[in-house]
Amino acid sequence: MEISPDNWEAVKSLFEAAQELAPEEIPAFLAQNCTDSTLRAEVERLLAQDRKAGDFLLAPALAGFRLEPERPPAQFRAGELLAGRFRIIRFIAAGGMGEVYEAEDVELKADRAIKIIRPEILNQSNAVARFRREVRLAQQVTHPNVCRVFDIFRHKSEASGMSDVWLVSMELLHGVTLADRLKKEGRMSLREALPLINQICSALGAAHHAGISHRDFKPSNVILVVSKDDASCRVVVTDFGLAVRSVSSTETTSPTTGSELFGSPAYMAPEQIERQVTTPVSDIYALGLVMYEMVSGKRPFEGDTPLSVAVKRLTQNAPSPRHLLPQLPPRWETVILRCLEREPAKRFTNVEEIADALSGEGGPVPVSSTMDLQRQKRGTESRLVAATSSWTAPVAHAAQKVQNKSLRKIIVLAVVMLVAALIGSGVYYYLSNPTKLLTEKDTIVLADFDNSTGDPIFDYTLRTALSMSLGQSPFLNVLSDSKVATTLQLMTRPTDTKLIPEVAREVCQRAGSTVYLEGSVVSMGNKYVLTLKAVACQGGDTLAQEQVTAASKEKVLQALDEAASKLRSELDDRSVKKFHVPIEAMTSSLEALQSYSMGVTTERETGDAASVPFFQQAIELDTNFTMAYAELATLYGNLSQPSLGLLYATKAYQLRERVNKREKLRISALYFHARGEVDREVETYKLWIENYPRDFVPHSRLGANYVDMGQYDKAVAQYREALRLAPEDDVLNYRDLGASDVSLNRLEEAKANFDKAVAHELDSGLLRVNLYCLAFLRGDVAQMEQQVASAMGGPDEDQLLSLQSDTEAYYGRMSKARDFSGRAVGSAVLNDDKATAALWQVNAALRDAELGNAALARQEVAKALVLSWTRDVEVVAALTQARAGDARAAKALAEDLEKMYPTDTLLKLYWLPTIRAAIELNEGNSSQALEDLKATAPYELGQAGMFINYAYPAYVRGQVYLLQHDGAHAAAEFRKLKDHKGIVGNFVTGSLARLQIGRAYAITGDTAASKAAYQDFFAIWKDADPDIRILKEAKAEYATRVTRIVGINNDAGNSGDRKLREVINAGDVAHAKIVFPGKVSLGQTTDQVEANFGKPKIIANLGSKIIYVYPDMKVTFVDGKVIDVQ
Amino acid sequence: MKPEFTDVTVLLSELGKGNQEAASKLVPLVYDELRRIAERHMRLERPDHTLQATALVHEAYLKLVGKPSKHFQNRMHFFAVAATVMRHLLVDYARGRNAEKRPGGHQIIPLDAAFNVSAVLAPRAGGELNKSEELLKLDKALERLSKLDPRQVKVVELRFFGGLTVEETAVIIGISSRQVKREWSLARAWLHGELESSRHGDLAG
Repeated sequence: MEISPDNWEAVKSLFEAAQELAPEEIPAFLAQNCTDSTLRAEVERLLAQDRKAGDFLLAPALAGFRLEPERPPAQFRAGELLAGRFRIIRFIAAGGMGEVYEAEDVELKADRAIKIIRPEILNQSNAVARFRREVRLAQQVTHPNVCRVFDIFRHKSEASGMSDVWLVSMELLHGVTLADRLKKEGRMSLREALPLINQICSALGAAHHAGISHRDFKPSNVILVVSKDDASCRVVVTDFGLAVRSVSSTETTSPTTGSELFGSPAYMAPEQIERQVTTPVSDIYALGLVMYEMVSGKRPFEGDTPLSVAVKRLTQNAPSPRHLLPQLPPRWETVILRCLEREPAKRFTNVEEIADALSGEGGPVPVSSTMDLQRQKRGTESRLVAATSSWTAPVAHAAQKVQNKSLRKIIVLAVVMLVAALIGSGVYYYLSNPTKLLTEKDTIVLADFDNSTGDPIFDYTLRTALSMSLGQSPFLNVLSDSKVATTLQLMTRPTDTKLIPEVAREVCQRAGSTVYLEGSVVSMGNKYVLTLKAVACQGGDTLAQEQVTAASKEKVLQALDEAASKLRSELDDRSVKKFHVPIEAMTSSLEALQSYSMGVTTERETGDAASVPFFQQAIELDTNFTMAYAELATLYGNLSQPSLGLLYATKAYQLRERVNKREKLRISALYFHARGEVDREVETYKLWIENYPRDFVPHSRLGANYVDMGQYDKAVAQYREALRLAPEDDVLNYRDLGASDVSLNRLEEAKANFDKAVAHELDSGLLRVNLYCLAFLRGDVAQMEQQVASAMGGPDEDQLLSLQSDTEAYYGRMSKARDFSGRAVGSAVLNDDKATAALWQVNAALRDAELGNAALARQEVAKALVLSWTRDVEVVAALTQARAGDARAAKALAEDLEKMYPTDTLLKLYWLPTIRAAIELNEGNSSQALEDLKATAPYELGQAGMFINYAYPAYVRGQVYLLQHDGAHAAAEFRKLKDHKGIVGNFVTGSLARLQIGRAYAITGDTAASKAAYQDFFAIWKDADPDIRILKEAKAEYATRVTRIVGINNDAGNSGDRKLREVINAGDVAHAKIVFPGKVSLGQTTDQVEANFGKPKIIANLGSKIIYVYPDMKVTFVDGKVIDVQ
Repeated sequence: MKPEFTDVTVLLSELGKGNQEAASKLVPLVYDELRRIAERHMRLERPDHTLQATALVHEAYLKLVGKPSKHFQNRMHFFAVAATVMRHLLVDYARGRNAEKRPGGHQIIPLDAAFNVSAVLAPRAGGELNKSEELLKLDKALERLSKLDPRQVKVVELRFFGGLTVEETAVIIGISSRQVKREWSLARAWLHGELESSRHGDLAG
């Protein structure tokens, strides 16, 4: 039995072929195809092994690995004195962050727990400062249920060459952790659990109010402290806010970025798992898991690997704890499951609500008490516990995509809106004063503040605050940060160059601005003096100057606001009274403003994902910082996290009264956008335009709304207006204008606009998709290939691969199409962008469903939903299931969508009706399907908030008409797809519509048109894979319904019949003499059929049933009426 | 630390150009880094934490290359190397373990941190020693398979040791997902057969 590399290939191909067969077919197959007995035996052996292999190797090698910690020797010994103040008593534990000791504070004569911070955590730039800030925040929370954090100290190491050690002093607690308690004693009675949960809620609530999320809440962070009187149990939650944040806001290049998976995924909320985002509502999820475990003794999600548990948590709802504990009162069940909602927005909004909801619980507690706390306390030796949970490594997300993945959908909101609204670009200065300092075309450059206080907090914050303040004026026109950056590049300086007055002046001159503002802050004792100066950049004359004094650091923002208002007046801005919201109303925290400024900078320099932690920190420092919430909402929208986007948009919207008018409008629009309320969004932009007629942003956003609604002419008008107002500021408008031109089939105009975008230095990457689509419509294959080739290895590679897959499918080359889709999915996965990977996957699924490959389509949907479960994915998944004939799955998904996005207008009026109509179509309920589709009429050619437009309502409606044998209406619907090539693009329904038109005209009896349409389709599909079901059907129809060959019965006989069929199958009908018969419709009589088709070859008379057999058709009559045609 | 970054980046792009010597230089670097990371996690984490191969590899990548690169050609090469390294690492560990338990056995670079080998390897085989032995047998079987079909070995390394999905594996090797599935299925059957017969061999001996 020698299997060698020489015959291995043969083994391989036999094995692969055999795997495609049913088990009972294999012996015959091998007998026929393999004469060599050795080979055959080997193949049979391998097939047998394959059947036996079970899950062999299926879980990755490390999947089941458990870590067995080796406790390293404690760093310090009893008796050692740390930081000149803490005498070590004993080592307690080694936690993720470092070691924990019991110590005595010799200065205060007090017991303390001392946490040593691992040097790895601290040896990054800024880390110590950041850590101090964390500790300072935590210090502020003094609550009986929160472990006190006292201070942070540096211990100078005596040994030479050793770096210093940082330590945190904390409250020393005597007790057991909740984790230990659950492990030892199992689940708790409700009587026992309720007071614990109340205290936990109280602890979490106190922290949340202070702007701190726990981030790593779990039973081992809950300590049950034994009190002396033994009557009650004090619960203390430890490690607040320290878990991730200690280092999370460092650069994206932090070397430990990958380690988020080493945290404690067992208690992470879906949004934390998916994108490492933590909010107070994530703590509520963790609390839900902990409550679940407390009352049931089990975790709701179990699995072999952390990943499988995580996937479950992302894709499944938690099972009810009542499955484990039938006697659990419904109130508890409701509370726990609401905490465990996958969507953060659907959970409780704060912990107090949880405590309230549970405390309504009255009467006898119906659960048998396993072990009450008294006994537990006696039975368990108390030991010293301090917070020892892991301080997980940082989580800044690395992979970012500058480009929004939506094909034509959304301009990068963050860039455009932020720049416009914050800095106020597009704002004009209008003045009737004859002594005009500035005209409406003049712009102002803001220099960085000269900060001589030595306190870095003022470095960026004051400039940000000043631009916030000036930005609310409809009259002043501040040069946007992006323009400043471009100008710096022209000056061959780095974009992060500090704008000292000399630089600001040069920027001002280069950018054609008129005035620059310089500011300074100096400290005099406790006081701070702020100076603002407006200088003409030509000539250097000082046009206006203001100086104010702040009595303390806390008053600086207020003082700045005062100075800014005065300066506005001096510059003849007469809007000060009407448009003045003071800076300190927007935020009164300098620290929050600092984080915000860093976020803005990071977003511009590094990208969306990297800036998230800064804005997070901003809202933790100031929980009422509306603009930071709005930024987060925008960022999460861009990062394919719409549910988090909605959460923050809602928060910003609730706090909108704190910001100026322009911001308020922007935030309202953001909120309506996140909720999908397109009508209200449109109204908001109109209002914005009314109040700030010179802003281009509402015009370009309105354009996007009109694209969604299918009103491309209106969209074009808005984009043109945006360009008129700000031709330089946002070249994306050229792209979007071009994209609308494409939708209107105006290919030349589109090209001209794309060219302009390039001429204005729009990164060609941002245009690639558009250029590809344009090339497709122009039939420019070389250009398409070039676009794909240039994307390879880049951030938008996956998008182009998926586009190419659509093109292949358009031409019926399905195996290539699937290959490209597979590569697109793989590429997105490798870029850590699962939401997008799922889109490409589900896109492929929908195509397969359209081509009659239902089983494969369903598999692909399942794969997509494992990757991600965003709205877009779910919509296409539902549609695919409907098209693939799985009504149950489609309905379930549609119901879920309806529940999840109750306010989403286009979902309600476009996608859900289309999905429902597709289901009805499958079930033969044509009139109900038409009824459903009525809702879509106003939007049916729109983008409908989706990543690609398929003109689906028209396509489905056409099929409904086909079912009704209404050829004329059907043809009209399918023609919409053919006529709006720019909208349907390269999606497969575009080529299938030709076939459907052929079918429609076959019904109306317009044989010439039918023939032309079929031939049109065959021409497009000339290189199609031959085994595609719909193609085979089309050929058969073409032969039977459309073409009839005269004389088939009388001159050629059987051989002629065969020959003609070959001609027909080759699609070459010109050589046959053809007549086009009328249709065979259900209900026709034998006479009517004979009138069209002549006498059949065979007539089978089976009593009430008669069968006419024609060469290519079999017609069945019952009671003289057609009931079936094959 | 910093100079290392450039080295690795250079090596990766050399590898991209087909310079196989670069791979042999990369392997020890990646090996050391992966071991360091695993050890660090070992010291810091608690017993209920589990490791995930891809996360380890990602972390090693960031350590060595410095930052998440957009050139994922490089990243793909790195994954391919890292999967092989992961195999060596685990095998060395398994050897180290067995050596300890057999007096006179030689000690080969034990991974200081203690692993339990995946339960999936030998679901019913029981104790840790058996699992280590299974891993060594798998390694030997892979060596034999490499004579028949080197590409299948690569697929097994990426999927099993590297923890990558079919799609990722397809991208890295440069074949279609369907081909990966085919190779994977045959390799699994073949290896299962090898391990089964070696188990019977043990019983007989």
